[in-house]
Amino acid sequence: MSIDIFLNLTVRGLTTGAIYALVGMGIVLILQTTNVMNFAQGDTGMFITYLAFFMITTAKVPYSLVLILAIAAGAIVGLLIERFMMRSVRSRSHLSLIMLTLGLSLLFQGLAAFLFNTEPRLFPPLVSGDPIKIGPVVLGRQDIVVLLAAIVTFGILYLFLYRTKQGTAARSISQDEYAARVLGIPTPSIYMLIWAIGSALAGLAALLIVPRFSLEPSFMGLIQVKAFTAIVLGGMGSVFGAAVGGLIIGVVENLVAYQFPAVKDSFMLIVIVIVLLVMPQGLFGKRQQRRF
Amino acid sequence: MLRVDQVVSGYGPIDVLNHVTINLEKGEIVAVLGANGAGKTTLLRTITGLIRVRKGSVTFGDKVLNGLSPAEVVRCGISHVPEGRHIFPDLTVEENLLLAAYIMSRSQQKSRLDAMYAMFSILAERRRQAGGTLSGGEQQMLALARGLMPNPRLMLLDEPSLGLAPKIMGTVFDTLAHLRESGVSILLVEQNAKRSLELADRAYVLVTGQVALEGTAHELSGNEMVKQLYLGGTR
Amino acid sequence: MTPSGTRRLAVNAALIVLVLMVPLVFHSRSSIIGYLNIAMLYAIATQGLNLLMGFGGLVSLGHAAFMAIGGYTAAVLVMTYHVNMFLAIVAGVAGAGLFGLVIGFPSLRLSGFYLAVATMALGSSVADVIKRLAITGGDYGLINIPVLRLGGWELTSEASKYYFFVVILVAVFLVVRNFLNSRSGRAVRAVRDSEMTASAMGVNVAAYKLITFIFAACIAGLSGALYAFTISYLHPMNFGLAFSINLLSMSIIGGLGTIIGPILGALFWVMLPLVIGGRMEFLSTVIFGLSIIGSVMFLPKGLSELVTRIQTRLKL
Repeated sequence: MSIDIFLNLTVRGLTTGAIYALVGMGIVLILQTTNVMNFAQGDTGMFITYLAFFMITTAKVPYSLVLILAIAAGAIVGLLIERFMMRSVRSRSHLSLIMLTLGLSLLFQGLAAFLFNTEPRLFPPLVSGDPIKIGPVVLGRQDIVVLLAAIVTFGILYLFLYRTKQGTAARSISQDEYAARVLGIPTPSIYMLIWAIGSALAGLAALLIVPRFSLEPSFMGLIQVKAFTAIVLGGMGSVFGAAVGGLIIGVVENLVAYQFPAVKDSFMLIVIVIVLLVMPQGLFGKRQQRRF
Repeated sequence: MLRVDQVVSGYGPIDVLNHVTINLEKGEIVAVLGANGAGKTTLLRTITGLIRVRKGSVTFGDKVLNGLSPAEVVRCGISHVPEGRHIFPDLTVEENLLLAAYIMSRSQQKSRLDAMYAMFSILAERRRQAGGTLSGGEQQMLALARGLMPNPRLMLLDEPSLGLAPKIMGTVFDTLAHLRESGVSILLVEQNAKRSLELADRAYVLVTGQVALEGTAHELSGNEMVKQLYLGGTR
Repeated sequence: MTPSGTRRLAVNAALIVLVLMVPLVFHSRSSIIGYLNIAMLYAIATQGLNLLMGFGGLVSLGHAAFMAIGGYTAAVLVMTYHVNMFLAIVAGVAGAGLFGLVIGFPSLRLSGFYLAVATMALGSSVADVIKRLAITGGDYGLINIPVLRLGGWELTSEASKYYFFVVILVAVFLVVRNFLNSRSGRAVRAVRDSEMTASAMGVNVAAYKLITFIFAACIAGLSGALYAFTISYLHPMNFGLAFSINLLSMSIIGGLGTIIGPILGALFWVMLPLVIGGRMEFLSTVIFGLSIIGSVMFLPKGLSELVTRIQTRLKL
């Protein structure tokens, strides 16, 4: 493999990885603070994307406005999910919580198919135009948008978690939920905030990646599985571990796909299992998080 | 100031507190003694709103606390320092302190923070260190400081001396006495009866969820049963 | 016999008669029988999953893999190696059981969410591997699988399959129920409720977790093998994560941790799209999603809860 191809594959892998990172970070954020593994993360994003699609094509709303509306919609959906579903089942077993999110995922898929039918559609990219060449690397314009969006999001999340009262409160809840309540931190509001952010991330990720595929109810399925691989690799206890994990998976997957196209997907799956058995805390997880 | 009146509360199908009545007047330190499982922690959790009051009432001044969330109880002026300290291990000392004043404005938080650093110099030194890296005694100081951040009129303390070396325990109790002087009332749950009775004004003894004895600290120190059960030998 | 005892006997007898009469009633519309057959096969697989999750407390998002292994093993043995069908089915069950052992191992070290993700990955990878093997027909799937033929009987008609599957379903039902009432079954439930306590009481937690996985896998493998010879077509993508989630849904909707839950859930799953009909099939998915959510939030015992209530009403 020549260095040029390697660079191109790596950069392209980074853009895919950025999507896994965005989805993964949302999942870990929700997991760490509210102790729920959101198997509906991908399909929440998918549903938001359908709404966005119809805003753009039927209501002719300008794309950039749609982006903002979609993220807002994601936040609202997340908030509603926490307020009306998760809150009442908080005390239940892991299985119940997982099943709830799986049910939600089915609901979104069904709603999308029922309201909009399953015929694959082409979703217009945020920016169109010729690919840009930076040295030996050729990047599509949408890819640049994805990378930028990912970087900005990482930054915002970091500021939120480490520089705001609410973000610090969220981190405290993930470390010791009881203590947070004793101190008088309004945990129900924080849960709603976290779900809102997590679902907004889902919407953003789906919107950014959809131009690469066709819009159909199942398009986020495989991406969500890869996002899970990413968070397992990065350590389920770490939001930024998920980000790094996502980027690594994106790059490695792309390189592997070039050399051995047949193994691409199973390879990732086996990685999860090996990591879980050998190094359950992942690359960046802290001490044995027996929360789970 | 604080009236716990015939309160029944517990977990799931079990009632742990069985018609418990406890009073605390402004400026007092009241100790609650009893063996493990007697309901001491349950009592504090009920006052703070972590557990629902099933029967009876909890009043603070003229405000009924039944059914309030912990956040609202803090707003009323009561803070709770839980058993086992529960310091956030991966947050800095400063973050730990600021979270305790969550409901306050930025400027209020800043002035409370300065007050805490003035009172507990060790915390000022370690302000950027992770809570988990502090020693046991330092963590207890941090826990106390967290309890003081929201400028409470009443502090609920659950076993502050647990796991501490005698010398540090002394510092803790001295701090509590100092707090009483500055106008903070304290409800102290402790297994170390000797020290508690030395410090407290009045005390109660809880036995399996009911008040078995009450009186001034002096009276209880002289009480035969208390002497045998709680004051005999070291803890 | 007590009045309620007599009543119960009467109702059970009536139910048995009803069940036996179904093929006769729908004689002219054998496709309905066909759907019922599929529902029964799903119910068998779901019975295994129910055992695993409801009674064992072990999360598994890869259950479809056991069906796939059972089905493909049996089908390939018959078609490529001309093995006797009965033996092939046994082999399918064994193969699935073996994989149950494989998936069981992570459960010894992982729990909760971690186990969910691990089983999800392992389960999906089975479908993926099957897709790449030539012997299994790869991406095209396996077609023209012979019809179910056991001991000289060729079960071509839907009605004949119906009666056969009813027998198998009842047999599985009884085996599972007896297992649950046995010492092993109680041990499994003890492990679910509290591993620490069970271990302290001398229960070999690891062994029981593995046993549960193997048992559940075998049942699903049986379902898969029978499925192969019923539908005569297997495709790897039908046994991926999506189908695993479907089985999970049937389990939840029917009622986790109950014995009749699986058949109720499977019937609901298969028959609802038929009832709604044609273009509205996506509405079924919406209803399934809502049913799962509703089940978790309001009716933990799912549809079996309704059955229990009817039983109480009729004072059985």
